[in-house]
Amino acid sequence: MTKLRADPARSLVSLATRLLPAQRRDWGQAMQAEFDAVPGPWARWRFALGCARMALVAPRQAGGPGLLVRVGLLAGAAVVGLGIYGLAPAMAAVALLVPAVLAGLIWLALLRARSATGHQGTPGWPLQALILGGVAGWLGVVMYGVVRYPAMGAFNLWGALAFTGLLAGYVGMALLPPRVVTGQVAAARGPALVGGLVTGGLIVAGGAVAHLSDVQVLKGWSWLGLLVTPMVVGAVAARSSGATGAAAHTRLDPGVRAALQAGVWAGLVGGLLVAVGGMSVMYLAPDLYVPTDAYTVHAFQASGLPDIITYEVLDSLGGLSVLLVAVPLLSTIPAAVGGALAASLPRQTPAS
Amino acid sequence: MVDPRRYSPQTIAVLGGLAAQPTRWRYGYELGQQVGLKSGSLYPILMRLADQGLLEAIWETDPPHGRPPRHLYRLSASGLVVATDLAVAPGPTRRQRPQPAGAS
Repeated sequence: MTKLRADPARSLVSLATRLLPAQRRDWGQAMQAEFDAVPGPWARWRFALGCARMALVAPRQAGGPGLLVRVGLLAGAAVVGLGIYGLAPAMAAVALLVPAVLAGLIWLALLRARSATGHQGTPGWPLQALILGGVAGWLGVVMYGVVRYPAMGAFNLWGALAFTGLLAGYVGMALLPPRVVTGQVAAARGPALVGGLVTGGLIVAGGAVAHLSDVQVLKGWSWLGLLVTPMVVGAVAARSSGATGAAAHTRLDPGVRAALQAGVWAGLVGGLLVAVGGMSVMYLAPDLYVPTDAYTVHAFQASGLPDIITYEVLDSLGGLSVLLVAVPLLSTIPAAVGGALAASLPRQTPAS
Repeated sequence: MVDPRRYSPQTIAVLGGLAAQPTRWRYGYELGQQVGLKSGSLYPILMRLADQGLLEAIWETDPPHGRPPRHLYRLSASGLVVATDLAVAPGPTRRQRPQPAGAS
């Protein structure tokens, strides 16, 4: 049996072909066939990079809105960048990186939408709107914090890169979900939407009530939502998928696959709700968040920040950024468990 | 008469390269080597020429054993008229950098 060796240059040409619109697909196949005739690794890489570039600039058929879309994207990115910089000059690096990366992702999403086989399905417009709105919300609360509490300081390059990467991850999963999370989109969308809202809502509400009423146990219990809700979401998605047994092209049971998809999207929605909701509550009532425990007070004194509210806001922004990564990752585990349990249950077969 | 301002120097070079042997079917990589264009520039030009009906493209019918069929290109009748009107001489583009002899 011949063992296939990975060839990244060839993979790049294949990717370029998939990015081409359907009516240009034969040109992609022509490039792939031509690639086999290119001699030498250096020439093959140059050829593959050229193909990738071609996929991004391939001329549309007559009458296409290519130029308009490009100009619109560039203008939109410029407006967003100038807006961020104008409102929060301390986020200059973010103003440069975020619009450029987001415009690139939108462009890739447009390319994928035009492509016949490249279109793998999306979470649907309600989830997309919620995730993109949440991303805008997170950008907004961070900008507000930087402006309202200037002692936090400006974003450095590494901070801006991490911030941009986080936003790009969310936008990418909303607009360009990878194949692994689009096999059972129809079954995953509804449970993901409801589950994400419930997960995030429970955590935010629990935290707010705990601070207002000083009943800390509520805060702890609200985090159970992160465990239980995705499990239910996964189970519902798996049952909705209406399929059992691993499909020929995948090692995963379709029900578990649907559960994983629902878990990821529920986690994205929940994570954004926790982050944006949590920071909004803090901005509305910052005095409630003034820490009194010795450890935090000592940490504040060592931070060099001028006041404890600024310290708490900065600390919360950092903590919630971590949660934005952790919540989607953590929610997939109970979702997969719920999906596997639901998939293992016997199904009702229609009477013949 | 064709307005040469409608065509970029690279497109004119491709037309010239094809017009040098108008009846011969050409491979894309070979044509790119001849006119000094990389794949990222060559293929969009070929696409536009085909869209305008100036280029014929077919798949190779009897490729050598073990190799997939490749695309072949040559000027259409109207493409040859345009190339002749432009009076392009086959050769490299203005931007082409000199390459060492035997470079692939």
